[in-house]
Amino acid sequence: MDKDLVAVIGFTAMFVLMALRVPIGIAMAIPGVIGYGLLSGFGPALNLLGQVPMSVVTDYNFSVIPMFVLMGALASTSGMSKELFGAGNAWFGHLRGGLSMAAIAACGGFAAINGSSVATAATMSKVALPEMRKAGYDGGHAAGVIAAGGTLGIMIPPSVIFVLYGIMTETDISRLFFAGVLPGLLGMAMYAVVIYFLGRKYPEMMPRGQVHSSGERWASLRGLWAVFLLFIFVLGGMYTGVFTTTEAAGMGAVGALIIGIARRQLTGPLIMQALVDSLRVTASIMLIVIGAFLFGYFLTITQFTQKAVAFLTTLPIGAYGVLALILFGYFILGAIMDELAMILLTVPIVFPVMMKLGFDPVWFGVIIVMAVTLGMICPPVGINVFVINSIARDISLQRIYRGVMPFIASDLVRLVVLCAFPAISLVLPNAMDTPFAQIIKSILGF
Amino acid sequence: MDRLIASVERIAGAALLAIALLTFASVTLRYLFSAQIPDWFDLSKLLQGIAIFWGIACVCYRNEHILVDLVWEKSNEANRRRIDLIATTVVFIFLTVMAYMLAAKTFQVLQSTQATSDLRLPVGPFHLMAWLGTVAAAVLSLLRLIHLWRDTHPQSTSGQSNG
Repeated sequence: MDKDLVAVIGFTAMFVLMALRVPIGIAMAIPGVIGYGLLSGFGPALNLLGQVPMSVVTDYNFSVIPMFVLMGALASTSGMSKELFGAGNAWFGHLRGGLSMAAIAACGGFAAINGSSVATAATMSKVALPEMRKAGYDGGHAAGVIAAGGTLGIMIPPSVIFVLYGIMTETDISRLFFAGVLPGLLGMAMYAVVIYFLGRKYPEMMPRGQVHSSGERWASLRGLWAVFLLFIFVLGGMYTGVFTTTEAAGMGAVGALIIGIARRQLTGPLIMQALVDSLRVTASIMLIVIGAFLFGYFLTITQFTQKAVAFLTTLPIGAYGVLALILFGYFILGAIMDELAMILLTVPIVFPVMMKLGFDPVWFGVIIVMAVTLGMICPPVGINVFVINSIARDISLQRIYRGVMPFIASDLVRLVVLCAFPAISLVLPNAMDTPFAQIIKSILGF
Repeated sequence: MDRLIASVERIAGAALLAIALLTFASVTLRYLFSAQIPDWFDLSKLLQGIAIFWGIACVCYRNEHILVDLVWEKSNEANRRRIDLIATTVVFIFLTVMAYMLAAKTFQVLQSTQATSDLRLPVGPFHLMAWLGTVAAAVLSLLRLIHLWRDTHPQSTSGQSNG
């Protein structure tokens, strides 16, 4: 059978299965196995099915995913998300839109100890949304703020998307993590600016809250030591080379556990709940990884990737034209597809193109995460919007989408800024090689 | 059944905690005492395999997969049921074939002399435990299919929606 035809049928079958509500991992795996069978025989295809799932789930590199998910779950269960929002409220709550800014700050802080946007959005929906609505904030705006703030979860390290990108492209994950710090902070600053202007234009949407005394403000920071300690412990350990990224994830999970127990905020049942939640999230993600691997083998045998690379790199539109084309493709895909699946499916195809065009792999990782970020809040399929809607049923999807629109515009501007100034992404990872970093490492004895 | 699944989830969740503790202990011992836990690496990845396959089984029962709800959300009740039946049938067939194909590989490992690096523990039993997770996933998806067919499934059909 013609390889191109089989590749087209494979992609079509995958989208049809997804539309039929077949779990995304299985929707990728089935066309992968059948397509492979059509091109090289069903014996080898079934052998693939007998080997790939086991090799994926026992690949130690992927332990980063359950461990960072567990770290986030333990941190959330031990009340760190509430403390973050409480501190933001104490410092900014009296400003117009202050609770929205507090929610963004809390999302950014929680993102620093958690690798998932969905988890960040879900957690903050439970913590910040009720407070914002109680204070008289417009529900659509409040939900939009949290949907946008939730996306910081995958930009600010640790990040599950960076982990997957790093594993697939063999890019240093710790460099990717550091590359996400400044774009994440830039995102927070830009969201705050958006809130400020929204507050001036629609003051009725976000009334001023009560003023907290300076004593209350400083007291609100007391509980944040745990978040900072965990963040510094994990990122510092990676930065200084004390432990690898995979080890950092396990260290972070145990760190969150120890902190939670030491503060008497984690009991046996709460720990068990965090473990079960992490297991469910991990299993769902890993099923997608298995499907992506099976589909990837199929794509390899069709030589689709090589053809796509040859096609895209010979387009007469220049390197940035190709980048724009790829990003446009991500926006389209993001509207119909899960972000994890999108990354796993497309990165093996677009990464070689970007490398051939001379782009930096770490910088491109940040750009990919930005594209995914937009997919998470853009209609018609923005997973963060759906997650918040599932928690706050009385705020309709339309209202949340209306609330998140200004932040989508802000993210588009941020994407352009990050494309125009790669240094924003690269300055921190490049600093890992500077004499200063070497001095820190030698002081610490590593 | 719910209680059984909850117990399985707790055991598999505990395996995740064991991986975290093994990693923590290994790194700490390496820097403090220049020592290492024998087989921590092999045990971690084998425990990870067991936890994930059993986790997938539980996710199948609870229908907490990551999936696209775009068409389902816009369908009426009758069509939603049809979509759920088709999707669950596809899931059941796929998982059954996967479990069958993994069986051959698992029994190969069981009969082989493959062992962990330090303690020379046989790897086969770990693979068997993980493989049983895939069998459980297939059985539980069949159970879900039967419940859906009879319209008696106790769990939500919403999944981890993405649309």
